[in-house]
Amino acid sequence: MLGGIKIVRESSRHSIERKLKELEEEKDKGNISLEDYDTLRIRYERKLGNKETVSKLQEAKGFKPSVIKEKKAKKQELYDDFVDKYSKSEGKDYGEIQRSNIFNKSTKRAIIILFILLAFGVGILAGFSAITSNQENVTPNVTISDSAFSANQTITQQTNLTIDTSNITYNNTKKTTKKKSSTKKYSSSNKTSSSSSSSSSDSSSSSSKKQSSSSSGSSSTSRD
Amino acid sequence: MKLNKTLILVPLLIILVVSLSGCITDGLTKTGETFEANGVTFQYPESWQVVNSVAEGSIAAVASKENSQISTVIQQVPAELGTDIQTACSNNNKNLVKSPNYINLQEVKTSVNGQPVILHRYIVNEADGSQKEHVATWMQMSDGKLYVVLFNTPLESYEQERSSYDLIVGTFALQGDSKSGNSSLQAEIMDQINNFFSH
Repeated sequence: MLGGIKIVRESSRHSIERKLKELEEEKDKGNISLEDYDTLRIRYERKLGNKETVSKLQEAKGFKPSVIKEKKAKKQELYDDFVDKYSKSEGKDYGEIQRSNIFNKSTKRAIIILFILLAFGVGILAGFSAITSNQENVTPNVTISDSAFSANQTITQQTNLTIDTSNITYNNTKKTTKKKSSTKKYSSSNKTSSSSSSSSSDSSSSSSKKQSSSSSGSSSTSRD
Repeated sequence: MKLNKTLILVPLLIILVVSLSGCITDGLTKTGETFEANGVTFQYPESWQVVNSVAEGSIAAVASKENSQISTVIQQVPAELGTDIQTACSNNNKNLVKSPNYINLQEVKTSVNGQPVILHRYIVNEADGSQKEHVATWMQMSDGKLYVVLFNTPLESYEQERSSYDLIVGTFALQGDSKSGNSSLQAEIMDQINNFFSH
């Protein structure tokens, strides 16, 4: 401290000049003595002189204040470029950015989900088809005989069968008569034959019943 | 981010809707099981099953799981009965009327898309004293062959089981036709059957 003025080791020219101004003000106000004033002024002027010498030396060596300014300007330019670039990306169409992003991540996700869903769908369908095909293959042992057709062929076949049966009955009768006496044989065979014919007519009637029921599309359901 | 989510959700929703619609058309509109064999296809109720048939020219037979007396047989008309639906049906009727157990109820001759269809409803007295009702739908399909879809049911369960027959006849088609789409013909046959039953 000298005369209330702080003597600070400051290197900048601007601060020394400011201090000199303050010193002048203090002297005008009468806060410091003339001696102190002289001492301080000389110091500051020396400092200032040194600064000027240093700057002159620096300039002589190539360190120019303009270079610093240039560097600053370059820095500013770089900063501006950075800001410009950022602002350019900011200014881009938002939809465009979204789309470009989607094609990268969301589309992939959607495609994967689609594939998974498709795989599930195909699997489920295959399973169902397998189940249904299995169900179709399993035919229960139920047989039905209902028919829309009444075949004439059935009637003729059954009639023929009746005639055959009567013939067989007749032969049997013959065989039986052989055991009896010759005179009785004839008459009894006649009797038997007549009875056989009656039985044949019975059988034919029963067969015709069968036919009628089958011809009219009737049925019998059987379980094997 | 909002737009991003929407863009993912939209295709997912589309898939969901499409798959659901598939389920609806295949599941809800499908009223029963599907028979596909011997060149023919039709739907039958879930309470029915495929059974064997010993009837002449039978190509398919289905019957109720609860009562196998309730059944439907699909037969190919033998050539000796006739080459057209009218002749074949009348020749068959000549034989039917010979039976004392046959009671004719109704016969309707109609045409669907220019194709003749004959609906014949009759009762048969069974040997065990019961009565069975039959409905025979005679039709000529696109392959030129004649088919009969015969419905057999005890008299008392006729009304109850009629819808099952409607389903079978309504969905009956040749396998090739069903793929190419013969729904209009089926719908018309269904209408004819409904008209027939409503008389």
